[in-house]
Amino acid sequence: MLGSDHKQHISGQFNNELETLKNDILAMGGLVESQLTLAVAALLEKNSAKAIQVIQNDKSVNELERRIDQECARILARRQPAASDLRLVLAVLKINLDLERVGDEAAKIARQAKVIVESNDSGSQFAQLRQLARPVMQTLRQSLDALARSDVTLALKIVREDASLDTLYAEAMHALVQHMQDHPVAIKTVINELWALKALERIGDHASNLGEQVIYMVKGQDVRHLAAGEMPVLL
Amino acid sequence: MTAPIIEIKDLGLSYGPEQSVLSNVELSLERNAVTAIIGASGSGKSSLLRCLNRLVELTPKVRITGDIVFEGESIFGSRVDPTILRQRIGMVFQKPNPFPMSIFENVAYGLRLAGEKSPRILQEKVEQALIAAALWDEVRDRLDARAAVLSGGQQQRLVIARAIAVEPEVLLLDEPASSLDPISTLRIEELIYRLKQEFTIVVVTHNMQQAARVSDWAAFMHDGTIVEYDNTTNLFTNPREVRTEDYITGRFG
Repeated sequence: MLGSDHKQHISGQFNNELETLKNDILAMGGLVESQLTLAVAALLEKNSAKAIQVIQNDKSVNELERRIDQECARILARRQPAASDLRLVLAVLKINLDLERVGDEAAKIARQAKVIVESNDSGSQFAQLRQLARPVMQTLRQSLDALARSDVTLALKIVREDASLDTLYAEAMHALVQHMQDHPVAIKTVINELWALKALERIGDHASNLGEQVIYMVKGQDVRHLAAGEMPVLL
Repeated sequence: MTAPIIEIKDLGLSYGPEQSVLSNVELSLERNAVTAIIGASGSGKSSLLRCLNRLVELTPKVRITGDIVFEGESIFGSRVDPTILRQRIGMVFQKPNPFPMSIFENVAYGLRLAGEKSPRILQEKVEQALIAAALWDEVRDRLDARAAVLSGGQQQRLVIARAIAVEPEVLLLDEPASSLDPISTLRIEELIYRLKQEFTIVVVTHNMQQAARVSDWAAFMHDGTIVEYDNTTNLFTNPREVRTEDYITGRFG
């Protein structure tokens, strides 16, 4: 369950407000996850209809972001939450921001897909993008699971493994640069691939941030900017 | 924490047999800091406050065990005069209780009791206390008026002026703002913040947000014991005990 059991508050109204907030942040997670899936499909399948769909849906992501921020502001102003309730609201504020950015990155990928389709250059098989897209989508899914279940073990795993996504990204980048050197004609398309690759790498970072916020929400410990050896014992 | 000004050691309190109010209370109070004691009605927080200046001994059949050490010396020692102790550890109550006399005489009362006769010194100290209690500007032109004409918030600041006129080292505040409107409450809170430069303050309050706003340290009491004691930010963002968490988040305990 997301956060601690909010249903035990003496104020039933407060229970309802927290319930709505939790539902909305999970809905936000579901929405940006489907945006990413659709954007990656648009790119790999060179399907501009899917790309357009992602770009249109981004408005709903933005709207939900604003609504969640407003709910947080209302709870802070009216309820003065403390302890786990306070940490829930603070974590939701940050997670909301990260998820909205994931939505933006998905829209970027969709725009690159559109450009690539419209350029009629069907040469690329997107080997590098495929290689990075799968683990990034999996990490985002896991970070949302960690949020939904307040799963600190999973959150910690995501934070620790962010470096391996960065390595994959660096390798893919290197391969694409090499490809451009060998085939200067392909530079135009490859640059678009590079943008999409960068967007995927950023999504990995946002998922890692989400993991950090889950740890803060559940344990009250700030694990941001810590080297692997500096991680506190959390369990 | 530097050397504490007050150390409460394994304190127990009962009002007769079968009526245990406090047990195993351990608390170290930091000098020039505000310590808040929070907890539900009947948790023993006011009783604990009343132990600190031995006011609790005025209750019949009271029995105290353990010790309270104030500046290195037990307050229950045979050489300690409770009246002198109460000058060093002053107290302000929930409802403002000005004496039926003028504003000036209210503040001068403790000074006169302590033997101060010089009108010049009395004048000076009353003025200083009223300035420190953030009331001077509102009463300087009517010091001879009866204290009863003041508003509730002003009366409470008058009572604080009376308490600090005798220059105590510690100030005990028992729900100092619970009968005041929000603006008067904020004035008292601002006053508490400024007074800690000179005094050590212990405040008992029902109002958790108030404790969160004014205190440096906070103790949560339940059933006559200290459940948790920590710096206020920790206690209100990441309490260690489930009972503290339930209380400050308003959950069914």
